[in-house]
Amino acid sequence: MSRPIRKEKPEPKLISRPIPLEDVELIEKVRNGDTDAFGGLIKKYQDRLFNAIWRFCGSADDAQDIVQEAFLKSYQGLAGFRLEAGFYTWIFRIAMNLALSHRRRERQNPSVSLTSQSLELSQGARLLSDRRSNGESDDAKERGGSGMQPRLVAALNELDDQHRAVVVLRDIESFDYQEIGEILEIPVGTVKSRLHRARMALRMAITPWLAAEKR
Amino acid sequence: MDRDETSELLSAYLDGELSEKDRAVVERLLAEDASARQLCAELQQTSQAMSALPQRAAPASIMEAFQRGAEREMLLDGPVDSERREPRRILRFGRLLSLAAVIGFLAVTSVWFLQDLIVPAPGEKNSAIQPMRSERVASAPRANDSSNRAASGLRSVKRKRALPTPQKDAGVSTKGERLASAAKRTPDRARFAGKAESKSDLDSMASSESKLQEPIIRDRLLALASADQKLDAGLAFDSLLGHSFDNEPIRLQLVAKKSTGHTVISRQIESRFRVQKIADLAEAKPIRRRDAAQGFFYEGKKGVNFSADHEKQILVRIPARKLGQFIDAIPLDEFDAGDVKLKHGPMVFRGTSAVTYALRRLGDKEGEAPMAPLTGHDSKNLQDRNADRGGHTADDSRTVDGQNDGTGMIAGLLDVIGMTSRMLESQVPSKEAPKEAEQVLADTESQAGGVTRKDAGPRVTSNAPMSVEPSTTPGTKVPAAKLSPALAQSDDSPIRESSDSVQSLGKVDASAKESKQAQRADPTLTLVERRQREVEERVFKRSSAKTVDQDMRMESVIADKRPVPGNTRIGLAEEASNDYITLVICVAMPPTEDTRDSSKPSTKPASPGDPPVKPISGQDTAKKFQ
Repeated sequence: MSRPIRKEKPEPKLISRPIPLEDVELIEKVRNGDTDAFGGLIKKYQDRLFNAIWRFCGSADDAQDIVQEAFLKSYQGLAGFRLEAGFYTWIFRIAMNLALSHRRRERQNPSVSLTSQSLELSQGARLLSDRRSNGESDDAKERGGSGMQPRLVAALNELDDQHRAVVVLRDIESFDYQEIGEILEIPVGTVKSRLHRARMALRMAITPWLAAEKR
Repeated sequence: MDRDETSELLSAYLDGELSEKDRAVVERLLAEDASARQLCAELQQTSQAMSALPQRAAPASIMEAFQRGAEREMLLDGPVDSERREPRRILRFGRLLSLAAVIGFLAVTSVWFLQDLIVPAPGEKNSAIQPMRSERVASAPRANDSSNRAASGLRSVKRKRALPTPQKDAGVSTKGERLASAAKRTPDRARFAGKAESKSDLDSMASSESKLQEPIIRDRLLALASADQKLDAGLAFDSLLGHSFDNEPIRLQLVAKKSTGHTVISRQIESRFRVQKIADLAEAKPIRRRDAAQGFFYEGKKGVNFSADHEKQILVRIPARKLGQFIDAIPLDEFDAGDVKLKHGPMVFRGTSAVTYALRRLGDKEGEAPMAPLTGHDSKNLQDRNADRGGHTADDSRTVDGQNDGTGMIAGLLDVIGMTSRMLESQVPSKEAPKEAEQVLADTESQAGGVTRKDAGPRVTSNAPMSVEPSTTPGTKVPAAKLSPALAQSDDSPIRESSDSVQSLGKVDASAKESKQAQRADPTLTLVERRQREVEERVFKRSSAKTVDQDMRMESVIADKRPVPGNTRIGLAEEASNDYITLVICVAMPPTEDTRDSSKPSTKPASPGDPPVKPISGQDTAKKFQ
């Protein structure tokens, strides 16, 4: 029997909504050497991108680092950017990949925050415990409060990266299934199943509030 | 489709992502099953609740960080080239890959040259080779980027299976046909095929083409070298104009009064900061999160990363915005103000007030923090020193009005003294600089005859960029024509002024003009030679071999440019976030009784013809400055 021919996985094309003319003009300016024009793109998309990555990572500090790096990478790779795809979809993909990589590294190399005032000295790897200071950051306050939204956020953070990414891309960023599949490089069918399971898990977390609203 | 499978389609149904067929199935289920309707409603509420989560605006620092990163990228790689077709990427191991690409390109180029010594006759077909050759010609990079060339060369090397073997001539071939065949062999030669008249022409053209790439390679290596490496290599100081000091550590050099001097600092760090205290830098892991555990501090060990007998090194890596808080924790008042020194690249700050000010400016992102007023202790020290020297006080209390145009620490340090990187590039001398330059020249000369502080701390070698002198091979004179226009000017050089005025903070010398005239009396001496003489004089002043050895070892510490172990990881982390500053606190231990007694200077002159060296003592030094 002959071996099946292994086909190379084609690079997914980002088919997105029509790219705004303003973005096209800014991109062309940057390509022609006007660095400041890229600032216009940053101002336009940084809030939206930051918010999405923040919801995905669960940490504003991490989101800031990731967004910064995403903009820098997109600036460096702008020469190879094809205008068929939307700029925001393209940079969102960069940011999401960075966020996923960051989450993987976090699991391997837990870190200690310097924002905490409490002193704790230990030796070697014991210092590197992944302990977030509760009640001292906005993220912690949001998670620790009462109400549906804090509970929803906590439930969102409890999802694994794959399911969390899908629900953030759909319910917060309003990407359609095809765009989500292209950003995360997964089939549309996988997007459907993951999104449904993610919503089911979130629904379980906020069921008491859903019942109250029903009444 | 069963009920469970249909339920899984509810989310897609809510999002309008179902086909006509599947939508009909779901609608039938919803019409028949109340629980399915309830589930669908709850899923919709959940989705709406997610959409209604509060949003947060992006912090303003994102734009600032991007600008810093873009400027740094431009300093290293040049501006964004619209003609480039390949996207530029920051590789995590960019430096290693660049070097590997350069080496690969050189290897490929040499293989091609050797290969062309044997030119097969045209018309000979080698199906295994020709497609690859044509492929190489077709894939010849158009950009002048050496990394692109090296990358394409590497790809060609990978595709190549075997060197072409010469085959017997099938027939008589003309000279032109042979040249055309040779031209096809390499992409470089393909360009010259129409111009060359002989094979030797081809060879010379290709050789010159490779020589043209050498500056590209050299520039690339220059971008990777540290400031000290550049100066040690003999490059002129103007090569540092575009240098980025972001990833180079800052050295805070102190001389302890007691043997437990470094312990005081260690305890202060531990008590004020929640940091990791690691036993080995190998434990330091790259952290990409802001405010994360990069604030470790590591106590160096003799024989591991430095060889000094009586120096303790503490390495701290902290967020820039915490630098001010960190400075407050360091008990600089417990050290003699004259022994406190901050060194970063070619910039040197002396004195507690100057060092504190420089550190605060480095830690202040806005760059607008006014200088902290001198404390009573600092003022007293300054006045006492001035009284001894009998001169006026340098203007330590001036605020900096200069713009912080450049990125990185060097720009911040220049900002401290009121100069900007643009002023450096435009080579515009500062108005106040000549006066300070004279003071520093006099200060340098006065130090040639004695020491101004306790001789227990590390000394600066001729290799160290203590003053802004072009580092050349010792003994050689640097013609003014070879220097940059800025350096060619003797006293009005802004580059020299920048460093000299830094060193002159707190320094006073009423006899500056006299010293300068004495210096000019011997115009044959270059700046490097004068610095060498200073070092030699200090060495000859030591009578005991042990002290000399200590001194040489201390000098080797300063001259030792080996990176701190684990620095690669630190560098990686710093690439992720430029908000961190690496500070190496070098605490020199006080001399023991034995070394103190044997440290009497000798009056032996350094070299024939030189005036005899006067004995060194603190009182003599004080009198000298009166």
